[in-house]
Amino acid sequence: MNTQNKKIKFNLIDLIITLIIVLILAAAAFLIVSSRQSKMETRHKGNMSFTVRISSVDESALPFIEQGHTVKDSVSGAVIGEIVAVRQEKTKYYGTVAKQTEDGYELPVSTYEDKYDVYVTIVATAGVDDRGIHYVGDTRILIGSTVYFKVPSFTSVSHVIDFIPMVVE
Amino acid sequence: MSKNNQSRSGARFNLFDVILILALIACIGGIVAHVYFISDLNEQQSDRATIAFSVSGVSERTAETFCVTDCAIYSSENDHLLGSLVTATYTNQALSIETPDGSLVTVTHPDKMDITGDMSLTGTWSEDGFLIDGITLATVGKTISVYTNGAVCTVTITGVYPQLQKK
Repeated sequence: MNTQNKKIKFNLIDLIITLIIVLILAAAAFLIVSSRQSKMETRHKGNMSFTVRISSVDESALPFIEQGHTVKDSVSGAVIGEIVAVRQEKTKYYGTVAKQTEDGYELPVSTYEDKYDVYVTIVATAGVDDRGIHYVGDTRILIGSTVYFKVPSFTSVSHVIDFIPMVVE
Repeated sequence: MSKNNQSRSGARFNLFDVILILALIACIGGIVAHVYFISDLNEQQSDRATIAFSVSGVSERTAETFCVTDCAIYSSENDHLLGSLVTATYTNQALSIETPDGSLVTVTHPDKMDITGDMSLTGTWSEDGFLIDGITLATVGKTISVYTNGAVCTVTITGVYPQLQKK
């Protein structure tokens, strides 16, 4: 009887509710995206170079860190820059028992035979914001900043030890 | 009877729909009020405190770059401007280590530095103490990550002192 002719009735109130929900979601998405974009757009762009230190690298891994390699962020996968210089020093070991000297005591220092601290200089496309803070992608480039270093077949945590500020015109 | 009702069907004013619309309006009102309330709260953070801090075991380059008097201090968590560095000095890190005969002596680390200093930070005073940026309770021993325009450091709070407002 009535069930055979039953139609889905288009309720105006339901339409209003649906439109309100869609508007709220669209506004939220717009606010989030535009906030991120405005942060990026206020940055002056250019090239900068910075040096990171990778501590205690096994001797066998040294050949994987070479000039010319592209460095990526191992967390986000974003390209950071290109290696322009590599330098290594044997990793220091600081003893836990004081060493006696003529003047008293000092901290004993020696070096590992097969571990190296690797200093990698990277050239990257960067941005600098109104405060003078440099960014490569979303990574702040400051002395002490963590850079999740990745080159083919090698990843490690590294820390910025030096950078040359970008010249902003 | 039912035919008359059905023939006049258009917008059937369902009670559940009313409740839903009111709930949505309340949500929108809450979001707007929250945004304006937070912005008012940020403007109300006119309290300042002197925070004594220390940083342990950083490179000399980090210490040199961080210790710039009057430089701005930002929170690493949310990039908010927290205040400025009042004073900061650095020396070779002091370590207490054991001698061969088992006693303790203080030696200096040849490559690492300790920083000590004071920061002037904004926030609000509460009954529990000073809230840095209105968010983080400043207590002795607490560590916070901050940065200047040259370096980032994890500082340990060693003292919290009220700062008189200049009129």
